[in-house]
Amino acid sequence: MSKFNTNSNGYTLGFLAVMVIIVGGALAFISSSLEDRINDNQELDRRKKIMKAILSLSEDQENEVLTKEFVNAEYQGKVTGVLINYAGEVVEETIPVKYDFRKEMKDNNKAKEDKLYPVYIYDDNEGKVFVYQMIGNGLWDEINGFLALEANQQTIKGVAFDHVGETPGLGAEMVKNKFREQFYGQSLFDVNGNYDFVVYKSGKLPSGGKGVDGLAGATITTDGINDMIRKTKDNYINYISSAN
Amino acid sequence: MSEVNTKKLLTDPLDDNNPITVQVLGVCSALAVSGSLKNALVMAVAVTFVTAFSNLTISLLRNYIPSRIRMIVQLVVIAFLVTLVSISLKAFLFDLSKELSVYVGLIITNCIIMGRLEAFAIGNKPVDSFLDGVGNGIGYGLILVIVGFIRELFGTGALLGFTFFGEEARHGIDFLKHGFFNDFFHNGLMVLPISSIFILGILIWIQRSRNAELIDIS
Repeated sequence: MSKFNTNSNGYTLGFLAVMVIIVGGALAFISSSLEDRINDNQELDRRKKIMKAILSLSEDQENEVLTKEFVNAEYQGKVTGVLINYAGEVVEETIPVKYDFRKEMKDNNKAKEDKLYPVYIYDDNEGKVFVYQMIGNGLWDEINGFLALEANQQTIKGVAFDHVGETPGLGAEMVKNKFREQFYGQSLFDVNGNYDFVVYKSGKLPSGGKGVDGLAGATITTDGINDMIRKTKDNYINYISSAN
Repeated sequence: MSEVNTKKLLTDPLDDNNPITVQVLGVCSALAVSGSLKNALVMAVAVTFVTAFSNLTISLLRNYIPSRIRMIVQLVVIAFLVTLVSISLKAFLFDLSKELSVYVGLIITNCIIMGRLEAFAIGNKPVDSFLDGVGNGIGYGLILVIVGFIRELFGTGALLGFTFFGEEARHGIDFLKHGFFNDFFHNGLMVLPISSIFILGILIWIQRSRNAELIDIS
């Protein structure tokens, strides 16, 4: 046994103090030395999603094409990010590093009209693609993504979705190509320019005969996606119509 | 003699003293994280790592830990290791860390870890404690993988992203594609955590009926 009286108050306090210093110091060191790597990963993940929305690739192509090098080169070479206000005017020519989309959208003290929204413009000399950022609520937690519109600002070029905790096999299927491919080429607006797009409950095609078939067995996630796209349209509507 | 004991430390938790089905520890996470096989596998590896190294650390310190704050110390060690796993996943396996999201943090509350520290590591030698941790981690993982296998296969018709049943069976074996498996409907109950209760119950039933040592004579 140890030679100390391990039950004395002084020993107990000393033990705690030493333990806290060692553990706290070690964690702080590890966390700060890996911070850059983690930030890089998050940034790459964001860029990857933007490229996914723009390029509308098949699942096999995505695994093959979207390497770190490709995504970074493509993003830096062809994508410009701007911040716009609700009226659709460009306020910042580049997106400031400290701009946080999630925080801005969840800020209840600001009205929709006072918020700033990011737009990513992709230009590869064959026409521009406009990418809008989305955020909404699924069944269990946040869902988010990017919506890419073709140069006419009507037709969906592609989408990328992500989620925090949707049910595996049901709501979580939103990230799969099988679901996302249905969006490609659909128009957000009808001929009169009114919003006419719906992600409908799986198998319940609306009378208009148009829209995206929702996720089977995940009605609330499906509704969440539908709401998220409509809300995104509302946020960007002035910019979208001014560009036409 | 000691060799037999060492071996038992690793094999006992797989059957006779399984942490989930016999000790009834860690059931909560077995219900939550067994929705897909991949999550179950990663969770099994992460929990094995944490049980093994927290057992080792506590066993090394066992003569120096003031008994009045024993549990606080155990919790700090567990939390440290789990945070380590969580940060490393974010830095080196980012996609996986996104998929597991909150579950990694929840390893801290997994009662198997604390249970093994209290029941074993606090009174045994470091090497034995380490092996006990590995054994219990694997015993936990085994059940998790079995439940995950059943739930993912019948809940979504797929395993590790490859579809076997249902109309979308792209990667299915040919005779499955044309047989009655086409009529397979996903079992919605299997996707929900509650199905694990039934599967676990059936597993315990099967285990007890086969293993004479577990028959309850009281």
